[in-house]
Amino acid sequence: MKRKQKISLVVALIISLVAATACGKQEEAQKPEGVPATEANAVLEVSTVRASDPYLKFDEGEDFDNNSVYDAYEKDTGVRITNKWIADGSQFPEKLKMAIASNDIPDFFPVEAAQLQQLIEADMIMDLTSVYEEFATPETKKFMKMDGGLQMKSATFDDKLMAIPQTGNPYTGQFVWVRTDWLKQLNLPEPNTMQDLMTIMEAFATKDPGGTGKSYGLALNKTFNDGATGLVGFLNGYHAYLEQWIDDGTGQIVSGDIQPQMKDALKALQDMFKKGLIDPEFAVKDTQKASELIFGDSIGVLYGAEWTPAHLVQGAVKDGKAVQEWGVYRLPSADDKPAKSQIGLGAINYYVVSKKAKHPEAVIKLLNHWIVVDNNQTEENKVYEFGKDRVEKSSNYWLLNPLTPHNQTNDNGEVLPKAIQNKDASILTTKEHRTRYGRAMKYVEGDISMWWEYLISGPNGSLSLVPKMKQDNLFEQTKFYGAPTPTMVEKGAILNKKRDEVFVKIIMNQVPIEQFDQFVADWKKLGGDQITAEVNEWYAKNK
Amino acid sequence: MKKTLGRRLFIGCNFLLLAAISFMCLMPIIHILAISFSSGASASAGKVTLWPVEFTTAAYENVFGKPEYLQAFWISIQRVVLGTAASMFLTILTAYPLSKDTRQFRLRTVYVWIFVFTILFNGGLIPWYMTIKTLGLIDSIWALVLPSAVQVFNIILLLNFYRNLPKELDESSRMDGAGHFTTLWKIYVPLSLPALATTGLFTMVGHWNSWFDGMILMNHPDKYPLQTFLQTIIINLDFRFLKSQDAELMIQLSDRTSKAAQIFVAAFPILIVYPFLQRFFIKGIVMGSVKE
Amino acid sequence: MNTIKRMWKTEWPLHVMLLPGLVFILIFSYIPMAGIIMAFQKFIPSKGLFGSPFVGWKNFQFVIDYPDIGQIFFNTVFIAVMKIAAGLIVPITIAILLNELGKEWIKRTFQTLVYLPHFLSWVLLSGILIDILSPSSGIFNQLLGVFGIDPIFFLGDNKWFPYVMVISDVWKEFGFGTIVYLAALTGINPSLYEAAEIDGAGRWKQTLYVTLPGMMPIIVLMLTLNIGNVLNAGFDQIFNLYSPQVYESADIIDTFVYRMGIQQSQFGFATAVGLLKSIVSFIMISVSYMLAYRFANYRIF
Repeated sequence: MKRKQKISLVVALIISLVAATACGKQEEAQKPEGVPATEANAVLEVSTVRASDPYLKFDEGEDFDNNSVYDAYEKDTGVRITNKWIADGSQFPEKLKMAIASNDIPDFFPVEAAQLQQLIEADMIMDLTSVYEEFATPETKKFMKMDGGLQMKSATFDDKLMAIPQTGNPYTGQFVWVRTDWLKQLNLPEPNTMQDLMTIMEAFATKDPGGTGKSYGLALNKTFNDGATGLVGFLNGYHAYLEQWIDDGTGQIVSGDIQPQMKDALKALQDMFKKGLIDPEFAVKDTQKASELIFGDSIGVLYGAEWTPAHLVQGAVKDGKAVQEWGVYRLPSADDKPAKSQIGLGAINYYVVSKKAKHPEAVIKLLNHWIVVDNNQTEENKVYEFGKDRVEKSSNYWLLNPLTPHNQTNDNGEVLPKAIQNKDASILTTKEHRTRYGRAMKYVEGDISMWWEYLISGPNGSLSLVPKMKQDNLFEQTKFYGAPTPTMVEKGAILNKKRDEVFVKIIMNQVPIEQFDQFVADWKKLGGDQITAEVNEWYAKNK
Repeated sequence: MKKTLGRRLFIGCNFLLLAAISFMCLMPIIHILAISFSSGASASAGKVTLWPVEFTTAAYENVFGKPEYLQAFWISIQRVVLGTAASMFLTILTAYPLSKDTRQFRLRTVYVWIFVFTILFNGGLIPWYMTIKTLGLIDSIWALVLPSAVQVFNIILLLNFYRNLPKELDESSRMDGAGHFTTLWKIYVPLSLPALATTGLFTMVGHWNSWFDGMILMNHPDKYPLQTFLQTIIINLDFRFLKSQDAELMIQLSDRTSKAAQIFVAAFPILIVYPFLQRFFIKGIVMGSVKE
Repeated sequence: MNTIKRMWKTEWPLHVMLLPGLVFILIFSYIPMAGIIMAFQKFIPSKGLFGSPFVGWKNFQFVIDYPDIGQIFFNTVFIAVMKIAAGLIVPITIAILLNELGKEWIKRTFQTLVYLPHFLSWVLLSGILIDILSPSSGIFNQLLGVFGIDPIFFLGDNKWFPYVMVISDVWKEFGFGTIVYLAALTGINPSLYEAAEIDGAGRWKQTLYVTLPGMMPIIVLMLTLNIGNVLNAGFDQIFNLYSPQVYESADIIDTFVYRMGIQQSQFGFATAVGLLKSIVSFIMISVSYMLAYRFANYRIF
């Protein structure tokens, strides 16, 4: 019997041993591949973390750790990039949060604005002011400030440059999308004013052009600030701005959530609800669920960003045929002042450099090089876009570039509709131009699956409306782009909860519109006034 | 034996009631199955109920065409096999001493509470992650197996089943000179098959379904178990922060039929485990052994 | 000293058997428990667990001062308690009913069917529930219409929302819950039924005096462990189904913590809430354990 006891003991021991050896092996495997000492002198090594993308397709024999883009950077800039870890795009933020919390960050990596603030507070990232000053080329410095320097300013704290913004085009507003085949069928005019749009929505709801027996005027879902089937575009038509800090005309900035214009807009929505123009169940549905009514021909009007056709295509194209026709229009206004579309700063993410990084200058070198290759394409540097064979094959190799600030003053709206209309590829300058042009041309040549691109970039697409909007200054850009203030962090959640609750109830006619005034009073009392004071303090310093 | 009218009525009603309940549980599965065999457009428009609209197997071709899918599937199998083996071994072993009463094992109550305490209190994600990282388990299959090897709930469940075994069995075995280990393997284990099947099922299902640890503990997507991999596909886009550049991504992710097919293919292997384990739910297994 | 030596002599194999399990929980549960001190800190990643500044009860104070905390607490307990009760009664009843089915294959088929919903996620089920509960087109309201009842907006009405949560949760989980009771049923001595039959007890009496008492240890165990969940109302489910119009009845502790987390990663705050929940669970379970021991001289585990 003793023997058997021993056996059981041994089994237990083996288990612990297996665990131990597993640990040992792992550590070995995790060590970076050995770098020959001679080479190490010449090459700067920086580590980062990457989000994988389902659209990135690797060439044979390449992967995230070994690929022609990383090799090209090493050859051209003398910087070797290594990956600490790779996570799927949708799980990247969670994984990054974990890495930050356990103080295990790579040399450089992309973060969101809120995380940037946290990293500064924790003193984990480097002040880049002098490195940027010394190593950024004049071309880079110019490129990063093409918007007048706002985006760079948003990465600057107490006069210290704490991050490199992943710059982008801020002029991405909302539009109203309408079923044009229904307009024709019911003999209705295009929506130039809010009154026109109301007429259209009412006609769509009562005359049921889709023949579904269950039709509404406007598609909405439970997330107010959604990019498609959201509420923001409609509110902007009443000069109301959701979750946006606006100038009140006296040099002070105020929250758009509590302005009288918001009350007007909500009143209008309540009236629409009473008339049956809004699905009574919208408040429990997410984007996809709410869109079923659009795809299924029950609704023919929605607000959405310029990319909305990529969402609409689910219902609009069937068996290689376009079964719905959509048109896009500038936001109609409820009065004689034109509607302004609310927009943010344009910087999407921020690249930060760890305090422990040995070669911060390497990151700036990568940045310099990206700006060169992205804006002046040559046969030689096509490798950064397409991989080693330098041929476009929809593999999205450009995603492998570790820093990708985009052009802040993109001219898609000026160039693409013209080029597509005239089938003239000669005026295209940027990579995005070419990609979009290529897709739109496919549609022109009969590939209906590219229907959506034509409605974005084509002669009557959403982008074609942008130049006029820029020219007439029909954008309302946020006046506050600092880090969340202390009271915001503490009270923001409750204020947003109260707002969402009362807005939905007003729209659904469960409470009278007068409740809005009560909400404004509560908002101020629960910390809103405090936040406004803090935001204005920031504004005074950063005007 | 003759059945009374009341009894027959009961049997009939009982059957009907359970049939109705089973039907209610089957409905959503059929709905998802129908979506997986429908065309993308009809699924997006919400036209599919319980029968495929515009029948197609495209979604399944798409699912099986992904090399990552098979890879993730294989990792999940490994995880379930290793994880269940480790867990069951520890559960069987740990439950035995804890099932003794205080006269036989004085410190048992202290030990039980040491175990129970761990299901009530935890230090949160960060220290947990850092511990596993310090052990060097990141990116290894053992990271998915070892941290959850002790399943306290299963141990408590099993110790309750152990306790219900007749005391005479235990005593006679000890009389024969058998030690604790022999008693455990020869008497307790064979007589607790239903309980072992239950805890085994819980462990397998738990391992198969968990995805969060795979995401946190694996540094490369090619090491994801199936459910973690599925999360990368099922998770919905955040429509608030989409950029123009994401348009192409959107077109792929909005394909509901593939999601439905993937769920189905992912759930199937674990669904068939239960009917198989049901054969271990033998009535009277304990009494049979006493009579021997 | 002597008694300890004697104890060790007879009991050492039992200690040894526990050793592997103890090592595992020491490494993977007790060491990470150090993280609990974050509840009293403003956690700063670069300073680590032992270098971050302490803030006393500030994180707890913040929870208590939150304007809607009373309502959130009530919602949580209200939904959780109903779930605990229903989650106990339904699986036990179904297990007994399944046990009454004559044919083994029918029983196994039903058993398998009712356990299927456990494998569907709430993300997926929320879409299905919105459809079947829809006041305009949902099958449920159409059925009610047959009886002349006006459509009810189950997911958008504060009166109904908590009950919908309880019923849909029970529907999803009861099949999985029956497994453990079916296992418990196998442990009942068949001769007890024979004896009861000889005494002239009918099926109903047998259920009452043989089946239920035979399952009692497992029932009590499940009840005790579930009572620990009195502050867990089910995050995944509610998060996927709630909307601003039902915040009043649907906002629970976990959704509140989640929305706070969007603003910033407040580790201290989240840990403090977690600790509060743990303490409540611990008290509930300990009290049940004590009561069972005191009044029934029975150790639940």
